[in-house]
Amino acid sequence: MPILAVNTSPLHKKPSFQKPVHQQLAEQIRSIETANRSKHSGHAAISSGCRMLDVALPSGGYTPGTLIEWIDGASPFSGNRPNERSAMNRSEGNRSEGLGNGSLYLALTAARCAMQDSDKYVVIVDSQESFYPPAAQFMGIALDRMIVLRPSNLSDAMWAIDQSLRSSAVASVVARLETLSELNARRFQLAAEQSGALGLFLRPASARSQPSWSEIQWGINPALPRASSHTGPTTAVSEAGVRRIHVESLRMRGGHSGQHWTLMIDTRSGMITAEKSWERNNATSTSSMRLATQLAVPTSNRPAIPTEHFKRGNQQNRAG
Amino acid sequence: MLQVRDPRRGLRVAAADPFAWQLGITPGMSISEATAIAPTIRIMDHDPQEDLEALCELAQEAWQFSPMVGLETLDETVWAGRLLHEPQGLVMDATGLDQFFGGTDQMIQVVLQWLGNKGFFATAAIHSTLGSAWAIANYSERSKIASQLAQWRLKQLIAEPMRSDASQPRGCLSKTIGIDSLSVEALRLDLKTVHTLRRLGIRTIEQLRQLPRHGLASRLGTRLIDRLDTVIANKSEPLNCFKSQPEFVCELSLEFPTSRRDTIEEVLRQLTLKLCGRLQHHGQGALRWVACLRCQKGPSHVMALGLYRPTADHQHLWPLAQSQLERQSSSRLRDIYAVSVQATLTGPLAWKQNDLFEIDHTNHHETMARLVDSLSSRLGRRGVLAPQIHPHPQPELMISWRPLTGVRANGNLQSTKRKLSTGARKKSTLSKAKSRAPKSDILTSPLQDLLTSQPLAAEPSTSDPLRRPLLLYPVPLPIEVTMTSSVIDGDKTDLKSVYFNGVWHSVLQACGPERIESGWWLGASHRRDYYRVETQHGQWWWIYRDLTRSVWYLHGSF
Repeated sequence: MPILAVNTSPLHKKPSFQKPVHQQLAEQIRSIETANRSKHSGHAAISSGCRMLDVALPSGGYTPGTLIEWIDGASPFSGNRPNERSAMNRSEGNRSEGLGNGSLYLALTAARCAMQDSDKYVVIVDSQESFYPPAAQFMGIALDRMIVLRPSNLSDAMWAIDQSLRSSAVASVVARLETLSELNARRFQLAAEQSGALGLFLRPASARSQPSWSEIQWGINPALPRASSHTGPTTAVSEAGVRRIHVESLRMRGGHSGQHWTLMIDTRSGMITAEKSWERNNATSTSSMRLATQLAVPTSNRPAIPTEHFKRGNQQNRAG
Repeated sequence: MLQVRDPRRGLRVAAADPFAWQLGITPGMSISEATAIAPTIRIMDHDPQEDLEALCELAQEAWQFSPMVGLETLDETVWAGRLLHEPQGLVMDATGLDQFFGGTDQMIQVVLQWLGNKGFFATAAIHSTLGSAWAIANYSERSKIASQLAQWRLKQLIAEPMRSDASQPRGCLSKTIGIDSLSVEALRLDLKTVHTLRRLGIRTIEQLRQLPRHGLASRLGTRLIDRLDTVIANKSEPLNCFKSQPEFVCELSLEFPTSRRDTIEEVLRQLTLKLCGRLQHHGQGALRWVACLRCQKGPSHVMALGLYRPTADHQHLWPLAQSQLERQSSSRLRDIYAVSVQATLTGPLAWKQNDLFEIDHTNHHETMARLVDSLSSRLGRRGVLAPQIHPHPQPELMISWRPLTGVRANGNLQSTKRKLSTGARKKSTLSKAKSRAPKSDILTSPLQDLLTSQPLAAEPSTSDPLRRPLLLYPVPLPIEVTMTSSVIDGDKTDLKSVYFNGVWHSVLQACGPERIESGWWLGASHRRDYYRVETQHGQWWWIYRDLTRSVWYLHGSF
């Protein structure tokens, strides 16, 4: 177990440049939590596509070899009857949850940034067979460096994602995962660490209550309901519109969770800007003592967990 | 159904399954017409390579009837009356063989029964020359064949769905009837010649025979005369026999049939090693690897692999082949008496010289090629795809998918780098469409970006990042839309709400309409007004109104 040592002895002369105690503690916590980055420390952080978000990220961007998740917001359609959900079969496309909420755009933006200045590829897992490449091309992703996979079942999809993440020729893997077991998530994390690829996953709203193995987890919240002005024309004649997406940092290893931003995407240029909305009061480091999250620490830097802690963590897990 | 692009007539139906036939969809029909009949039908691209491989397998098995079997020999251009420019039949030399079957009719009966047992609907004919036999088999009772096909399949679907009845041979036994009554297309002529003949009022072979020969040769070329002679003058033409053994094939017959998986795996491994050695010796690499396990009782098991680039590396090929074998259940691997391995499609191996100086920048193309091979071995050729964009107004027809494995790149020297970077780029007609997304937006401030970036065009273009959805549903989803009409602009309609999946969604803003119309030369006209709408919950959808039927659909999401 790493020990946080802070020298506060009055016998030692305090140098003028010594940082405050709380700042030292925060840096040491951050160095422990982000120790897995030493393997890819030589690689520059990957931009998220938005400068303001990059500033808020611990490394100034996404660290190569990590998993990033975008989770749909609480669906206003959660009260749908099961037969309505079953009607959304594969031939009809996605379910209404997360339909067009912008998470795929953000994921592809990160994928584009990961491919910059390298001849690596982006692998897109398109189980629904609905991915439309022209839009991705207009975003700046070259078609000749795009590989689209169409697995026919979940097992093949998991295997394909794992194989793609392990390849050093892959910059990022973009996939929508309705379900993700802890075993597969751990495999993806190890695979990404090995190659330095980014795993960019889109998850349903139900993933919010599940343990996560991702480095950063964004929540795509439904836009605040605005009063629809139907007293006048609703057709926006302005073509240079702006798309707003509300994101929340649900999990940020080494950073602050609970932060809210409103991302504004210019529909003509594709530029993303952001303005911070508000921040929860308990925005603290996301180091968790839960067993599952402890196990999310890479094997090379995982501390030896005493048996007593293991049992206690299990009990907490069951209770949670 | 399978679609193929005809350079003159656009997308056409290349083949249809029995259910599509039942609905009235036939080969040669335009895709737009077919989708109008069956909007939910699944459309896939026609793969000529798979057809050719299936035909080659049939040719190999047809040696049981004749020692000289060949595929149709094609001309440079497609024949009139044909949609696909590829061999679609077998040709056999039956000289002196009918006595073994009890006569020519009986021989035809046996051949048709064999094809029927394999699930094919075929016609056959025996005549003195190749040309006349071909003409009779393809054109003698063509209309009756089509109706018989439709009747038979309908009967099969109703009474005995999807079960072949070997006792009743399918197809039609073409009797030796008068060739003169056949259409001129039975002479295997090109489109231009047939069109000229039709303009002259010549439609049958009988009418053609009445014209002076010297005039025909000078006006329409000597090929017409040659083809006519093969039909009426018993002029012989060479039969290109199908090669008995492909150049790259290795096979082993076991002394005793075995059902042991480890034995079969070891045999397969040794044959693959031998095949790789042979390929390397000739400087070739395998693009398609096919293994055949012949069973003593029951059909043979065929395993196929597609490869991204030609390879003769056993260490790369064997794990992929092994994974294919592992997917075969043990119950199927019974009494295997012979194993064969062949490279049905090859390409020249690319020899890469090692760099003199090490560079930091890694060439990822080789690594990607291996990944693609590995993915394709499990997901199949159609599970690992690269997109191609075509200049088509209809969004769903603008994109096509090509498998990355098992395809030779134009026969040029196979270079991974060239194939990865050039193949898609050449066919991408929108490669010049420049994205407006900035390359790097990390260090510059938004204001600086606005100042330094290129000024936006006055009008939005279809290449704007959020002009097209990221997800386009294969089948547009029907929705309901309520609108309000502006009093000031009487002819202007505004979208108020969208009913989808049992819920009403208020529309906060809508961008449109963008009218998309397909040209008349592309088939049935499609006229749609597309809108990009934002719902009250921040979802961006791409919906359209079909102007022909005044129905709304959800086509994609952003």
